[in-house]
Amino acid sequence: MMDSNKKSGFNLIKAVKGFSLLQKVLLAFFLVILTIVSFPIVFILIFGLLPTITVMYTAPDNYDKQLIIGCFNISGVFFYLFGLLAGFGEGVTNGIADNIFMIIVMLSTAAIGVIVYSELPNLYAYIYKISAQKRIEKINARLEKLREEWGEELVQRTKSQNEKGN
Amino acid sequence: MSEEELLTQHINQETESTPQTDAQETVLGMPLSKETFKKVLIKDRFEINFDASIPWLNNNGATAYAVSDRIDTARKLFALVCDGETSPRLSILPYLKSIDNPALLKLVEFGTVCLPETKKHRMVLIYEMPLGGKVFENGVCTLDFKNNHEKFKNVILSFLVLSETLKSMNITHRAIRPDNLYFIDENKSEIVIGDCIAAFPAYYQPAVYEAIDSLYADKLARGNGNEKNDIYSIGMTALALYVGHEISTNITDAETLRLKIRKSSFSFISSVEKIPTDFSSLFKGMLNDDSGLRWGYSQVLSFFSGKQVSLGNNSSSERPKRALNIDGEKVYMPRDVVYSMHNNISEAYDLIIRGKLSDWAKNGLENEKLASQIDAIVKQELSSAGNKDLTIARISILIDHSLPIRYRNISFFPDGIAKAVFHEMKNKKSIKDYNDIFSTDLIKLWYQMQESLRAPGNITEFRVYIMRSEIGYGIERIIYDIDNDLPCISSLFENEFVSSAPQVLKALNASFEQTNITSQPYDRSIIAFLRCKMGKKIDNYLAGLYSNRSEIKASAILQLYSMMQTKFGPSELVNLARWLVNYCKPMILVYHNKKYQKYLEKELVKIYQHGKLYEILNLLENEAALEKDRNDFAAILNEVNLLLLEKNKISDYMAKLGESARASALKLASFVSVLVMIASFAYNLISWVLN
Repeated sequence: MMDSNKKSGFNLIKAVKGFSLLQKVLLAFFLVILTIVSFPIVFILIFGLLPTITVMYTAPDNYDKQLIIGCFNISGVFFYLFGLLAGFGEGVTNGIADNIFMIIVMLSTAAIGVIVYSELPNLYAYIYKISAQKRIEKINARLEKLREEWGEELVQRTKSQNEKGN
Repeated sequence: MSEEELLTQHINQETESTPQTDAQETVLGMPLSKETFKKVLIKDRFEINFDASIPWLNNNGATAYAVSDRIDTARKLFALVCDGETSPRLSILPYLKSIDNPALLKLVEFGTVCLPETKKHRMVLIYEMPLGGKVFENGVCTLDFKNNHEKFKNVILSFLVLSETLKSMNITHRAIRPDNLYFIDENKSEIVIGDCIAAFPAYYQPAVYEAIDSLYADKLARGNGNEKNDIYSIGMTALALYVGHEISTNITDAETLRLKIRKSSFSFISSVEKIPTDFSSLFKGMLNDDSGLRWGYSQVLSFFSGKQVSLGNNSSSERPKRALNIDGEKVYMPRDVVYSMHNNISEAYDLIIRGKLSDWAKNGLENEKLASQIDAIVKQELSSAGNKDLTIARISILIDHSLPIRYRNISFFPDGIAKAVFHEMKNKKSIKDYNDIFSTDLIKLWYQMQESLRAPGNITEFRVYIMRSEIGYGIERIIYDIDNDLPCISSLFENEFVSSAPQVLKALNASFEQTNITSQPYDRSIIAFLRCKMGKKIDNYLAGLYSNRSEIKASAILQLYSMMQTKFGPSELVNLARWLVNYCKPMILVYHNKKYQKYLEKELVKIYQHGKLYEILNLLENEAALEKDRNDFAAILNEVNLLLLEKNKISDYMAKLGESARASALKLASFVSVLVMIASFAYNLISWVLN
């Protein structure tokens, strides 16, 4: 069930390969124009979103990984993307490229995404397990009390009923 | 008042032991032997001195002891304490107590007594003391009747009057013999016949004093017989009185039977004793082997009046024209043929199958009907798996139905078979043959052939009783159904004497007091006995005993005994209550709530000490408590069901937690990451706008 519902990730190479020649030429033309017109933005995006692009390349079928890392990565990129918009044409691109702190922020948000992606399931399972165990302990305590008060037959009968039901 | 009620009323009395007093040294000048050291009171009046046995009055297996009457101290009495070998004839007790016949030793009282030494309960019969002692001392008559014909005549007639009296009450004596005759007065002028109750009918009768039909039956199963049996014994006893000594033949009972059959009783006795010619007709008439022709009171009276009395003769006593050759011997008479057939089963069976017996019936007895009946049995026999014993038993009944039924090694009259089974069961012997007999139609056939006897109403049910294995059925049910004389022979109260339903609870109570029994408080004998004595009204209770579930059985027996205690008493049965409390533990387990179970256990421990069985029943079968317990249990069952479902669900989920948790966590992470992205976008957008 899980597998069938699992969304596959965005496959950049597959997507590009799927284009016709004309589409590919148009895409290349569009990118060149975009780079020329808004070089700083494109630069920030390409430079800042390198982790996401890498994930899209290395794990093209992992939608969750792409989404989590991508979202975190973009949220880090936004700081500089809006900064760029504020001082457009003032050599910001160079400033950013020179500011190692800025690079670390953009990449570390991606790193946070990686950490969330890899550790959150474990943390979640651990927390759930603790909670389930506590509930089972409570159920067992209640059953034991009922057993003492009503006898083993009670539990046996219920078990056999459940087995029949199954 | 019914016979059983009368009996119960008489037997239900308290006994008590009193300290030893000086014992009598002699009774009528005869020494008393010292055996025990106790006295027991019967019905607050008759004191039996177990310190003073009276051996010369021992009779019918019972032991005699001196008795003193606390009210009429001058009255001379003695007690016969019945042994456990057979059983007293309980059904005739009330009748004999009511009889005042000059020829019968007066039964003054009866009851049960606990023997001081063995602590066993036994029936005790209190008789008037025969002051003149025994008529026969060491086998010799103390009175000369040869030279006193008038006295002889009076004695015989008085005995025959007694026989007629008993006949009018539909009872028989069956213990008329020389050693059971006493002089009731010190002058030795009146002779009385002694006890006939202490043992099975004719059980202690010597072979000589019994008619052929009775002698042919096992002594355990001679049955009550009829007045003709008593007349035969009177005839033989009269001969002993006349000749002055007991008639002793020094031959075995079987040989006595053979000779009586071969020669006739009169010829046989003539060869043993010299019959006075004056009384030859008398003895011939009274000892006639054909009971229909046997003299009675009127013929004997006519004989003594000097009238000519016919000895009688009918077609059945005539010798048939043709003989049957069995075991190299020619036999003519039907009785002879039956006797020879049973002694040579294989040869007899061969004769039957080859049609020789049928030929003899047709040509010898000239009895076409009998021949055709035999042919029908042979035809049936040839078409099915053969059963020699059954075939011969059936044909024997057809040939001579005055004889007892003989099957394999058992020879019995139907009204005596219950006593034989009782004896065998009591002595833990095999009763397989008796079971087989009740599975056949022999008893029914025998009754069909009788002209003056009616079969028991439920005779057709015997086979059903035998086939049913449930408690309350089986051979136990049959013996108590047939025979009202028999006490209950449950192994649960071997030391008790239980002759009626009300005594059962008392006996169980006493048994548990003596030995802490761990088995169930009933058995097949008790239930069969109660079913016979109490009738269909206990069928509802018995139904529960057929169940395989112990709590249902316990409930059924508790209800039955509780009802009996309410109906018959006694009001306190502490030991039985304790026994039932132990046995009814499964009834506690019917309640689901453990706390309530413990409460019941505690309450039962308190309640049993009151000895009231209905209190135990009310506590264990409280409808309101049961209903509440059931409802609570149903609710709890539902709760447990839900809890277990939840537990199973959690356990299942935990088993595949890695996978599902990851999926859930990724969903959460995706959601968080999108939120973070939107938050970052919004923050930066607002900052950009503000700047």
